Order: sequence, then C-alpha cells, then structure tokens
Amino acid sequence: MMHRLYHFLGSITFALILIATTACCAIAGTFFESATDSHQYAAQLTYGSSFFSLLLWGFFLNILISALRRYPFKKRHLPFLITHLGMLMVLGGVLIKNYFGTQGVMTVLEGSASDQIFLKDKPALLIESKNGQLTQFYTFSPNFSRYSLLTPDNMQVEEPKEPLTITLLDYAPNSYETIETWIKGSYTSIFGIRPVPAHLAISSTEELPLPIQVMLPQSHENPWNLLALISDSPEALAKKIYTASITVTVREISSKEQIYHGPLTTLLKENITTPYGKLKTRLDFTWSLLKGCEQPTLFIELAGQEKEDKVAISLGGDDALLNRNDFPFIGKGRMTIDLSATSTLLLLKDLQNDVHLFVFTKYGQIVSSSYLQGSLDTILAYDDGHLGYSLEIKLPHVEKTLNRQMRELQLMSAMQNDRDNKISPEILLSGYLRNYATDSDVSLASKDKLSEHDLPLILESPLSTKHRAIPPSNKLEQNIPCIVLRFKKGSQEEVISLRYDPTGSSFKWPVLNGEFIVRFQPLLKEIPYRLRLRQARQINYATSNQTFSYESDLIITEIPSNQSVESQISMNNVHETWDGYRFYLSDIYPPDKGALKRIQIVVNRDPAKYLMTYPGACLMVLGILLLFFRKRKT
Amino acid sequence: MFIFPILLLITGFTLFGCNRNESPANFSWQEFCCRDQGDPTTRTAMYRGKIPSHWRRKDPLPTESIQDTTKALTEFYIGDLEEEKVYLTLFTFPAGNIEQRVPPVAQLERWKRQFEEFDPTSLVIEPRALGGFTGFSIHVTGLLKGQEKSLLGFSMQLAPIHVQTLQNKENASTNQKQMAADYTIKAVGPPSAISRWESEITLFANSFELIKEIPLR
Repeated sequence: MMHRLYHFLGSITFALILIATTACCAIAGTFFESATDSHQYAAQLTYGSSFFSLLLWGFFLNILISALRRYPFKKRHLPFLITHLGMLMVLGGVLIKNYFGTQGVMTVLEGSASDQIFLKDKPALLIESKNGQLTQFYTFSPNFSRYSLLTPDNMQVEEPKEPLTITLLDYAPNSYETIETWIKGSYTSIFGIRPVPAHLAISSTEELPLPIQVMLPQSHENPWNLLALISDSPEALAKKIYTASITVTVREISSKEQIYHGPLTTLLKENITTPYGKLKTRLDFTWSLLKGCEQPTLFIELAGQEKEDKVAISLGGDDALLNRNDFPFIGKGRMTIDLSATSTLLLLKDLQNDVHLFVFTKYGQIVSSSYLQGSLDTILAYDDGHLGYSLEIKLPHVEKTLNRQMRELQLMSAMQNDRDNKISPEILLSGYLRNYATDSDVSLASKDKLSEHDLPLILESPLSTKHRAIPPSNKLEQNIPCIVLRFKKGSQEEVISLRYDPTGSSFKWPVLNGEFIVRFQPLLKEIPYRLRLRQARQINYATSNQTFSYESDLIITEIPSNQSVESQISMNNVHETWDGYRFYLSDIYPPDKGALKRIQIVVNRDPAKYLMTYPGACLMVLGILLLFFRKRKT
Repeated sequence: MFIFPILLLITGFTLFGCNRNESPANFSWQEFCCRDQGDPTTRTAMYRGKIPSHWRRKDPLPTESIQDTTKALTEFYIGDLEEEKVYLTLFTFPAGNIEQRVPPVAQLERWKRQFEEFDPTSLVIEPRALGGFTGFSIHVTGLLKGQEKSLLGFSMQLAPIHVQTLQNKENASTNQKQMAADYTIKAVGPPSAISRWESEITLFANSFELIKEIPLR
C-alpha cells in the first residue's frame, strides 16, 4: 500500500492532476476578480487560500519523489536530477517566502523618517499608556472569535499589579461611522453648558418649542437663548426662529420719531400703515449646505404720498447692520432701522447627521456655520488624546457686538484712517450722509467703544464616534471592519467600539479615564532599515499636466551598522538592499509642487530569493539545456 | 562544459548590476550651525548641504554671537573674476510660535523692494518643498545699488505639522525649537554670473536640510 502510494505521489498522473487543479484555481481566480472587482476576494478564495498552499506542497512532493524514484542514480540521470533540484529550490523559495517573507507598507513624511511598516493583512489593536511605559500591539484570535481575549504581541514589559485584560465582544466585517458633535443623540453637547434637549421638528409649520435660557461662560453677551432641533429643513426653521426673535424699530431720521416698533413677523406678514406711509418688508434668508447664509438682507420700503424710501440692511458679514442700498437710493433714507433681540444660539441637526449652527445676535446679526460628516477641522486634542478631542468653532462678530449707530461710526473712522477700505462706495456714501447730515448724536463715550472690535464667540463640543454594522461588500478592499472591546483593569471597566484605520493615522481614543489610548489598525513591524524622505516630486510631461513619473529622494540607513546610502526611487526604479529588502514607491500625496509630501512605499522581502529561488531557476535552465544537449549526443 | 560558467556569469551580471546615484566628485557635504542664544560657544551644527569645492566660505567669528537675525549664518563667495562673482548668504529666523512667523512670500517681496527697478519679465517665482520645509524660489534681474544684478533666492519655512510636533514635544530642547526656524538662501551677482553658477546654487539649495530628521508625534 505504502509502495503504491509512494509511486503515485511521484507519478506523471499525480503531476497532471496537480497542474490541472492549479490551472482551474487560477482560472477561477480571474473570474472571481472580474465579477467582484476585488483582487483581495479572488486571492482569499484561490491563490491566497490554504488549499493553494497545499497544491504547492503537492508539487514539492511530486517533484521530490519522482527524482528519488530514479535511485540508484546513474550518470545519464544528471540533467534530470539538476532540473528537479532546481524546481525544488524554486518551490522551496516560494514556500519560505509565504511563511517567512515580509510584505508591508511604509508611510513617510518629507523631513521625517520611519523604520516601521504596516502589515495590512494583520489587523491589531495599538494601545499606549499615559505614562509612556506601555506601547503595545494586541492581536486577535483567528476569525475574530467573540469573547476571546486579545493577546499582546511580543510582550516585553513586566506584569503590572493590576493587569489589563481586553476582551473582544463583537466584530462586524463592515461598518459605518458617524462623528457626533454639538448634538449627541437627543441632547446638546457644548462645554460649559448643561445638556439641553434637542427636539424633532418634522416641518417648519409646526409649533416650535421655546428656547432655553443659558449662560455661556465664554460670552459677554449673556443670557443666551439656546434651541436645538433635529430636522431636514434647516433653512426654513432658522428663518422662522430668526423672524420670531427680532423686534424692529423704524424711526424718521431727522425728528427721531418712531414710525414702527414691533415684531419682525408682523412686518413681514402685512404692510403696516404709518403716518409717513406704508411700510413693506421682505427678508432674504438664503442658506445653502455648502455656503451657509449668503448675504442675508432685510429690505424695508416706506411708500409715502410724495416719495418712496427703500433701505436694504445687511444682516451678516463684515458690513452687517449697514445700509446696502443700490442706486438711486444711496444715502437718501428718511428712516433708520434698528433691530433688537435676545442673543440666540440655534443648533440644527439634519437627517444626514450634519449639524448647522446659527447665531442671532442682540442687534439682529446672523452668523452661521455647518459641520458636515467627514469634513471637520479645528479639532483640539487634550493631553495628546488621553483626555479626548473636541471641535472648536469661532463665530465672528458675535461678542461685544456694536449696534447700527456704532457700526456706522466705525465705518466713518475706517474711512478717515484707511484709504484702502474695502467696503463699497455706496455704503461709504450712505454712511457719510447719514452720520454727517443728520444722525450725529453719538456720545464721546460711545465713540471710545469703537476701539473694541467685534470679537468671535468660541464654542467647543467634545468629539465622539458612533458605529453601526452594515452588510459587507464583495469588494473586500472597501470593507472597513469594526470591533467592540471591553477593557478591564482592577475595578475599572469600559466598553468601546473602534473602527479599523487602514493607514494608522487617525485618532487614538481614550479608555479607562484616559489611562490608555487605543487604535484599531494594521500591525506595525520594525525593519532593520530607516528611510528618511528628503524630497518627493511628481514629474509631468513637458507642457502638460499629465504625470510622467513619481520620484523620491531618500536616505536609507541600515540600523545595525548605521551605514547610510542616498537613493532615488521612482515608479520603475526600486531600491534593493544587500539582504533582500526592496522598496517600491507606490504613491505621493499631495502632488502640488509647494506642498509638504507624504509617500507610500511598499516594502517587500524574500529571504530565500538569492539562496533558493534564483539559484534554483538557474539550475532548472541548466538542467533543461543539458537534457537537450545529452539527448542530441545520444 | 562551458555552459555552466557562462550561465553563472550572465546571472551574476543580471543580479548585481545596479544603477547608483552618486554626487559629482567636486561637491562635499558641509555643516552649518544654528543661531546661539547670546553665547557663541553654544552654537551647534544643525544644517548641512552640498558645497562645490571652489566656493569660498566665511563663517562668523567663534567669539561673535549670531543671535541677531540680521547677521548671516554663513557667507559664500563664488567665482574669482569680478564680473562673475556671486555673493551667497544663509540666514535663519527662529520664531516663538507659528503665528509669529513671517510668510516666505513676504521675504520675496522684501527682496524685490531692494531693487531700484527690476525687469518684470525676468521675475520667476516657483513653489518648492524639501526636507519638511515649504516655500518659494525667486529669480529676478534689475538695478541694485545702481548696478545690474540678478538675485536667485530661496525662502523656506518648516511645515506647520512639523512645527507643532517640535514645539509640543515634552521637554523639547532648545535645539528642537531652533529646528523650526525659517531659512533663506540668497545669491546676488551679475546676471551672467548667476546664470553660470545657477545649477550649483540650485544644487546647494536642493541639498540643504536639517542634519537630524524631524521627529514624528
């Protein structure tokens, strides 16, 4: 039985079975890749699978036994044996590379250096302690088995008195992340202010809740009205809340007699008849997701028997509260418009989880800002992330705001002091005529206030993330897994979810009151070479923006010997070290000439290349030539 | 019989043939100190660059403090004949924090204002990035102190991400804060001289870098 098995393993029949099976696997792989557009999916099912490794072992056995079957060897067997030895060396090299080779990605920033590569097919948990004594990777059990303990990778520190245990509670192969800020769940989240409920507003026609009065510790304009809503109609709701909060006072400019004093809503609903004529009002509150409130303006028209007056008051920006009239009404207003309100902070979260902030100041100015998922900036990290992260917003022209009169006086001072003032000539003229012709009762004390400019209101909201499992895609490269972990140390316990970060460059999240920070990312491995990036550049074809080549200038230092060499690597020019490490340039970002660049280098090492694979290939060629040579002689 | 040695030879050429980039033999690496804090003995080597062998270098006296940023870190004299002499200076500008830094384009504007008049068609400004620094290069020809001169200059500033890393690092040493300094390289000379030595000056500017790598957070 063993004898028959031995001869079968070394037979042509077995070889043909192996070749046919391998060919079928390769063909299947191309179909899978074409159908799913995913190389990773095809590789997992075919060439990257354990079955394919088994086929390689099968080839190894078949070639070895077929050679050994010729024993006792004769001189005429030499070419055959050389060929088979060569094939065995090539196969052996492939198997050694599969098990002991290195394949990873290194990211380097211009001016800095790195000796670490990301092993993309080995996800791990990076954990750092606050005191800096622990920086450790924890690996997962195969297939991310639930309730399994994570194990430290090459742990070298002593066991502390209270050891840290990390348990995997749940795993999802694909996930969706939402960044939560300003409104979390159904409450506001702003530093210094107690959480305020966020109400769901289906439409702008329904009755809205009353705002809550709060004291902002960072503001001089207290108290504030705070209102938080969840709705898909931010523009309509913001306009409604603004008009409801504003009181308008219209005065005749020379006598200061009050023409109208009342809510803006009343003025917008109907024309008001006054002794001076009919007051007509229109509010332009155009808002867009990308641009926010663009030049909100209040138009007031006083139609008397003899003449007509039109005033356009800007409500936002650098010329807020100033007259923005067009010709021929420049500077000819018979009336002054003053707005008043309680300072209001409105937070609106839409159904895409984007948050829009509106501030309505006590003089009617409008300031808006939006926070869209995936495009957050000005993020603050406290204690390197150990105390978490927060989003900061600076809302201009909100603190120590000036009323209309002071704004106009400020404009006049600017006109006198700075001839390059950028405010339009129409506004300059209207301000000049108004102030120097009739409205000049501003006191000296008020004029002193001009030296204080409008200050921004600075608000902060803590940043957090929320994860949700979604169906995995067949294109495996697009799947971003998520894990839920339980951290336990002594009596402290915390459960958090983390989303995979393939580049290992995003936030590390605090756990156990900031004692540790963690990130779910590829395993990092140190290599015996340190690469320092001096310059990376994109070369375009002459007189064209089309890319010709990517190049980078590196200093590569062999760490054990501290020997350095300068090298230029490009798309078709790799650098190879004496011990088989190869560095391929795979990406440069951004491509702009004057920007700081970051490059991605694929690092590859085949430990058997020069010992087994290449010599084996040479022996194969030699053996085949000898076979033909010997055959011709015979 | 002879096939095996021939094959071995071919394999050897294939495996070990490689393309090595080497600097020309007439260049050498030289080091440059950073500014001191008032005590000239505390100056340490912070920068390096490739210098052609025929450039004549002039450093400040070892007893002279160069804390004052109007003093050059180093000066070079290029060329022997009067009509082809180029004067090259290296300056650095340490700043307390990011907001205090002067943008590189402001340095270019200052250099342009040094000309009584200049040929606008000769003005070439290009963005550049190198060794963690970003900025601009400028090449302009005009009247400088009554004589026709060309200026080839480089104004570079450490990228904000590196400045934040150097300034936020715990126990950041003075040297690490000096690493965040802006630098300028300015070469002035007759247009023909600048044209003649332009490739060497550009090679120096392209090789100028911090000796130590910038740490990562």
